[in-house]
Amino acid sequence: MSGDDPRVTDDWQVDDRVVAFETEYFEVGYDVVERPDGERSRYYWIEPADVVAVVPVTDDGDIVLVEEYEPQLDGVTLGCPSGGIHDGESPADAARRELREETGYVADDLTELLTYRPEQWIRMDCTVFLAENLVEREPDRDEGEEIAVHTVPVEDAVDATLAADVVHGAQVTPLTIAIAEGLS
Amino acid sequence: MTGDGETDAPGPLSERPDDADDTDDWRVVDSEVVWENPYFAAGYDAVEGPDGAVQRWYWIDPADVVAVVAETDPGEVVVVEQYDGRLGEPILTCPGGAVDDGESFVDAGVRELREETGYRAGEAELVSVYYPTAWARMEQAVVYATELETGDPDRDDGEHLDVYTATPGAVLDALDSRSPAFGVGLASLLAAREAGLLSFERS
Repeated sequence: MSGDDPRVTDDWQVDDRVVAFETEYFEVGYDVVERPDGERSRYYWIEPADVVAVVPVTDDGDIVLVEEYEPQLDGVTLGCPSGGIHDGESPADAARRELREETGYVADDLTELLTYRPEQWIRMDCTVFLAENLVEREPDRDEGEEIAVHTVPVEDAVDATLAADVVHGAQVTPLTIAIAEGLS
Repeated sequence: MTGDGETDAPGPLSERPDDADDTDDWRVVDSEVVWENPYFAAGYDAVEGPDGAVQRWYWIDPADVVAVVAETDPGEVVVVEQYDGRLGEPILTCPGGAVDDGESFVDAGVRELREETGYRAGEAELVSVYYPTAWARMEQAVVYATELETGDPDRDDGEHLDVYTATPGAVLDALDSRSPAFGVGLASLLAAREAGLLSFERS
């Protein structure tokens, strides 16, 4: 498998992009696409801000996880700190900000691991960072934001996130990515 | 959830009681659909938080989906590449698709694997179920399939995809090489790895 494989994109033509509705957080709409067989189809999507996820590792080698109620999924999630990238902010700046806001930790070393697209309906990328050499400060949370911060040994971290009330992939997959990249 | 700072959890948060309910202080006071298409509705819940403030939380509600980590006898996994009209770009990922009404995740995975690639799975098991993002009220399941026999695919009109097999390590490297990588393939392979079903060496 390599980049030399024949690509399957050549005969797809996007004829139009229609925004059907706008919320304060995302646009929802569809592309009108002419397929290789000549048929025209609508392909629906939403487009929110891109996000970052941070895998914070303490000097003891433990992972810092956050637990909070997630109103969109109506349940309690447990996983890596994560959140949306603000306008004009770089992914790395967003990662530092989210880490500080949610956990209080400030990272001396931040390494970008990977950018991935979590699923097909949503035009949103998640950039994953490893955060090391952590210094503990006061968390800087929004009013009403209630977050419990846990430190968990690496070998227990994935099981802990999978045991949450709601398993939120954008806070779990980054952890498995970091482990696959050699975190142990 | 205490929210009063750091707790050092012994092991995987073992202090958390099984019947802990942190949702008591959050109350859904309204739920509205603002737009619909044949595949999902977009809308919001108005939720009263613990501080008494009411906020809107937006969502979409597509059908649940399944991805299949299908391992052939020689220790390779099956991946598909297809243009995705929703994302407007080609994606390399595991076979899979939407779960039909009343269908189990495992049955849907075995069906999608057969339809997309032609492989018939003799054995299949559920690995994990998660929500890929907080925006979509859509569960993503990962199914691990083995005992594969080849056959003809049964694709929809206009469905156009290429099927490859490669070692898990080579597939992971190929997924990583795309920017952005497609998360469903990546998360599925890594979930099978975490579950001890798939092992691989990275190049």
